[in-house]
Amino acid sequence: MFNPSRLRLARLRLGLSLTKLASESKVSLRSLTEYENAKREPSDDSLRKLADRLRVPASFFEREPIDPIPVAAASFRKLSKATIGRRDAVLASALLTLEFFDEVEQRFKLPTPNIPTLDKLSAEEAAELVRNRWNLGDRPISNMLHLLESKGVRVAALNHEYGDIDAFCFYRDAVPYLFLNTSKSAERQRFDAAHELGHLVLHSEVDMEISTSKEREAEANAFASNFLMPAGAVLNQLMASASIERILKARSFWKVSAMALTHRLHELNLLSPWQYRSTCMTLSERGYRSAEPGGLVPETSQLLRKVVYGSGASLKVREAAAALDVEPDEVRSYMRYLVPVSA
Amino acid sequence: MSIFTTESPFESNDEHRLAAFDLSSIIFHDGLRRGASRASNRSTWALESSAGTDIYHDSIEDLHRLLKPSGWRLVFVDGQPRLVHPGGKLSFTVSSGINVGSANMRTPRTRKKGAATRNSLAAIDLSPSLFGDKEAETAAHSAEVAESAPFYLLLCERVTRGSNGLALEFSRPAGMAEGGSVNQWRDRIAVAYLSIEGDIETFGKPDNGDDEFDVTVEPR
Repeated sequence: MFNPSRLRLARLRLGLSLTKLASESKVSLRSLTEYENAKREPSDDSLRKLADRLRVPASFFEREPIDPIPVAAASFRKLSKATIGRRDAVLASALLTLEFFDEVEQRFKLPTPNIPTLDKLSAEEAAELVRNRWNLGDRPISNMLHLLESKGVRVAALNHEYGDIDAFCFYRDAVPYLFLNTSKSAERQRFDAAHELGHLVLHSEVDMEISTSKEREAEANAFASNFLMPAGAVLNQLMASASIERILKARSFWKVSAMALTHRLHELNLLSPWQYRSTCMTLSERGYRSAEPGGLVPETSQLLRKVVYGSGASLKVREAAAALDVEPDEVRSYMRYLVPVSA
Repeated sequence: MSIFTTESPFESNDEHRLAAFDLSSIIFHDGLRRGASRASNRSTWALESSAGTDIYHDSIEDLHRLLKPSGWRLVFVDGQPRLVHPGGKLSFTVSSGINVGSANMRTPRTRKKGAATRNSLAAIDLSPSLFGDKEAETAAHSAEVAESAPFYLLLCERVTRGSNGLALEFSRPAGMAEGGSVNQWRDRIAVAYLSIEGDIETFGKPDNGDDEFDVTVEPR
């Protein structure tokens, strides 16, 4: 039986307006509106046209309805009006990714979520407490994704077409989900992952209203900075008035971007405002603002690797795609750059 | 006011000159490194004087520790700690300065110095010892030697631009400005620059490896 919410979901995930879908699928706007509003069901011919354009099998429209992810449940930085459509597309893709993880969970026992809620603490205190609870000491985090996955966070890639969205996270049925833009540099992804962990720790009990996003984003950034570069350790590394070369050595040690480390040194008053500005300018001239020369190889997902390539049972991409009524490429996009997928 | 020199005041055999005093750049570096490192960990939240205090206190302690086995003594002259050569060849203390080091053609200058340094530059009239016992006599003798031996300053200037470290020289004061800072020198011996930038052991590979987190995934 045709399910209108599935049509809307398939359309939104590609960032298509009703008008655009109508024009590209050769199904009239009026009909499309009526299909989505459950006024009537599409003919087989219309269904086929829509399925072709939306890159799903027709059976996708007959699947069970699924609750959308409320915008207020996910952490987004303040977005421009033009970006709101892309945000909706990303959330629609994320909703399909949840179905993928449901499929994974039916076949595998995954780590139980264990993310503390510390919404009464400052970002700095919360970062220190999480490090303590997880016995991380003040060492660099060797692998942010594996750490989060081991604590029950399900990590997936967000649609790369939306480069202005770095990452977001939310809880669904008490399970934390993190969506990362895996086309960014390794250091950027690590910071984004720590930033989203900050949201999970500090803001899981509050609605992510866009009007108050600025404060939340600042808190999540402070959490990430403290979590990845703990003050006690950085203050013991001869970083006062540090030269560019020393900053580059230290950023490799902490596995963060040179810019993030420079900002941290300024936060910790190890660089004066003048030194901070001149260091940023030099780094920018050397290409460290838009990229991370000599940086790390991006982290990958241990969980998805074990699921897809496990020595015992495994879940092949084609099997998952068939179970979810989507194309294999759709499933591959959930794991893009997180695990090599050709299966 | 800075005094300029057109020729380097240092000599090519300065390390030999230090060796004649049973000293070397390496000894100075070993004595200064801890204080310099600590100073380099100071944030701008610290007092402005903290970095200098770190260098002064730690280096007096560490130089004393390093030189004591060779017979050097730590003696206080008018409250100023001085390390005195076992053969009385010289005494020295640590002092911050500006325009320090061979890369600078300006004449170095210290901050305002106290009575101990001032008296060392004046003709010295030694007071008779007040101590009677042998230990006290030895102490008094050391103090006398410290006061009578040529007095040097191990001059240090923090460098925080470019290569982080200390510019150094080992120089014998000859005169003071009216304000009390030493700005004239009768002997200047170059000491190699102490770079703490090269101290990168703190950035060695952490012992937790690249993948310490196991994500348990079990088929149902």
